[in-house]
Amino acid sequence: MSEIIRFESALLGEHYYKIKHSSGLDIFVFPKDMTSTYGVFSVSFGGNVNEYLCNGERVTIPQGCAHFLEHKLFENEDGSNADDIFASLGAYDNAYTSNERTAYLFSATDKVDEAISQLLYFVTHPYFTKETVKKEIGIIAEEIRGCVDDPYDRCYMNMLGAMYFENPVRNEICGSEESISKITPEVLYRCYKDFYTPENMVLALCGNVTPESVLEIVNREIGDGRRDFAARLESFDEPKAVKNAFVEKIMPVGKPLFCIGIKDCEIPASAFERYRRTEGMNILLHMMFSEAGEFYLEMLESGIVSPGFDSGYSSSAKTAYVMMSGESDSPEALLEKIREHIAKCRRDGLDRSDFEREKRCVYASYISDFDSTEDIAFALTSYAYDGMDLFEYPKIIDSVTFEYVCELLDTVFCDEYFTLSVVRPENERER
Amino acid sequence: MTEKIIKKDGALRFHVINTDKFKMSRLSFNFILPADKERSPLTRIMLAVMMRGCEKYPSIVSINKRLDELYGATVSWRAVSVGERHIFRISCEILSNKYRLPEDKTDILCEVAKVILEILFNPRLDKNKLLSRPNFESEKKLAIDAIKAKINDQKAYSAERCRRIMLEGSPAGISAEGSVEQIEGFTLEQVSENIEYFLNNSALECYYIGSDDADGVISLVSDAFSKLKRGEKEFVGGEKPLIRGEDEPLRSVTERMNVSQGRLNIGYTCGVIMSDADYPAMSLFNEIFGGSSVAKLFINVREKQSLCYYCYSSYHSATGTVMIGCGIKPENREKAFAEIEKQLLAMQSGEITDEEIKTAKRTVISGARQIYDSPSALEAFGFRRILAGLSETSEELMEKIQKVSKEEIVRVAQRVRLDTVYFLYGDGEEEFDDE
Repeated sequence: MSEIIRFESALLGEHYYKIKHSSGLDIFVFPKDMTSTYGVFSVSFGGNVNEYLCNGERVTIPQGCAHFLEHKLFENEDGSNADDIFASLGAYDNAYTSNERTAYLFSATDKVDEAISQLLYFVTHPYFTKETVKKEIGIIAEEIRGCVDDPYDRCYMNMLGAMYFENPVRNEICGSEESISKITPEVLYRCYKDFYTPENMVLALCGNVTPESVLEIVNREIGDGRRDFAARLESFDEPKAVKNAFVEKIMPVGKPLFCIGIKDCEIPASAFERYRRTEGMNILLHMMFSEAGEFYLEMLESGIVSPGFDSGYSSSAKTAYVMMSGESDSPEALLEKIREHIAKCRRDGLDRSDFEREKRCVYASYISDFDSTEDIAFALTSYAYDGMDLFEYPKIIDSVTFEYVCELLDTVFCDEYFTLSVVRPENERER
Repeated sequence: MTEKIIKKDGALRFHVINTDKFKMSRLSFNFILPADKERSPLTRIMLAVMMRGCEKYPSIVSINKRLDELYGATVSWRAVSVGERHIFRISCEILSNKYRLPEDKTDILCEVAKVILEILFNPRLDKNKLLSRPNFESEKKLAIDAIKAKINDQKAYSAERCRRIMLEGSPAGISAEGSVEQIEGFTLEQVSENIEYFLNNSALECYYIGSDDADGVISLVSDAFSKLKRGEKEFVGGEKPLIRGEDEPLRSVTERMNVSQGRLNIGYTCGVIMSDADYPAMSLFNEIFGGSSVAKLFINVREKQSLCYYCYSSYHSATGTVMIGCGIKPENREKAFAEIEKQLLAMQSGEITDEEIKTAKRTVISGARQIYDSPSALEAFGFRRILAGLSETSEELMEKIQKVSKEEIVRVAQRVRLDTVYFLYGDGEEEFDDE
């Protein structure tokens, strides 16, 4: 029997249902009065898997497998394509692969039940042949070349590569032209069998949906038999300090781009604590570096940074870092200023009214996420993998105190955790 | 969801859509001016400098601090080209009053509007009525940097280059950004004097979409503008189909850059603008040709021939043009070009299946329906139609789309003519000749 739990938020005037399906699949249904219904069917299998253990066997796969598999699942055995089917429903479909996950999605304004069935069908019916895999290698190679020419993407990936020794986020999600040439139907079927099991997947829907109708569709498409998920990723040993403090690349850009990374290896084991740390860090970064702060004004007025200077903290179960990015005529000088500013904040202390103001922004930003069925479906998905309830978030904001933020300031920014990645225009090669 | 139009005077109108559907509301100011080669770039720099500080909030930081107090309200601005018009749009995303913290009685919407009005009406001027020189110099440099940074995104860069080459010599081809040389020549005096021109000569369409009562904000804005004698302004306009003489040669430009992927962009004229009765058929033509991942271009150029990662067409209804973009290996240029032309020819000779038409109709209709899910889409739909001189609702558009026949799609396809070819490719590859 599948169990249905209802979650409610008085603050937002919204509710959703969590269904633990008998197959092991976690289903989230968020009814919302919008024209479009959004669905995300995802699997915990992403670009950071290059090696895993399954039933005692060690399996090594070429880089870029998860992303390749994402492309190929759209093709069905009868020659039809998921894109055609969704288009014939007037719906939009797509997919993406991140480090941790692969997500398949649709947005529909009509025939929602049919769209949900189709989403479940194409993701659970793999079909690959030598020919279809070979053809895809050409398409993905072009996609890789497009990424290679994208200076923002290069700057970011170089930062991750310089920051980490072992963490697989340093690898390209799409793989390389060389690695994808090793992908065969057998490799794809193997990955599919090992990772695409209901227990390792989440279905999240927001819009014109009810838990009853969704449950009926899932029972029909997935069946209620439980299938065990046995693949395990090995943990890696990542030193606290960065691999390289500086990395640079010459590309055709208007002015230098930079990504400053600050590696954070103190990742709390509990999801609540990790979310709290993430919020605390984001509030702290805003207090210190946002466009409402004196530091930004000083950098802008002295011409060291351009508008669009951004800072944020990103974290997942195994990876966390601060990233500051933007354009600057002199990224090295900016990094120096950032270090000085951190030292100054530590010396002089933070301002409590800045903290209160930032907290208010974080609160409003949480509320604003509930205006879009897309945002809600994605938020449900990421909270699901962490075992968190989306409506618990205000509790996380409340738990972030001024004292906690001051403590983060004192502990996160160590010199050996910094890395600077720069993409420089050709004419500055000598500098 | 009904829209109320409140005409305050001959140059200012308010559009109000009151709905409880959204937790964030949208307030926006659309200043409409003719595309002007000299003045538009000047106006962009002027707005950029004004957004850096005013009398009450002297720096960008003090403006942002105030907005953060107002629950992180966001204020952004941009210049948008719609055919022969340039629109300078300031838009705000604002938390609805009902989500204020319990003890707070601030009217967030009115407070945000006051910040905008301070920026527009009480700029920071010195005794010679000049804006801040350091901010002016800084914004000039940033605008030049932004033009230079366009090469960072080659997909967008090549699409824009193709458009510019195609529209060169037409008012629709005037860039609101200007050129590096032009911006370098601007003086602080010119930019400061432009404030008065800007406020006095633009038609202003304001939108409020959200759950709060808009009366307060309407009086604030109309009181501020009624002090100026703005007279009657034209809200409709800007659309004009690009028409090329029979004997004019193909525009073809090839450029090199240090990149590994080639970018092929093609401009076609079709002569159909939004106010044309053929607009619904043209939208369907574009959808079937290259508007989606089941379109002819995607299926044939990408899926069947593996020539590229992307290949799309987009229909520009203000100029009556269809633009193609694809990312290819440089040596595949001829093959990709031939395949794109072949697909167009197929549509012109009626090779369109009922299934393709049915699918395109569903997709276009679904898009028209979805505007109700987003305040910015609601505004974009309505505002674009004001410029076209239309009053159609999205339901009326859906009905027209539904009625389009295959013959009409073939007929508009036959109006599509090759006009401009732009190719960007990498160094170290062999030279390609222009055709």
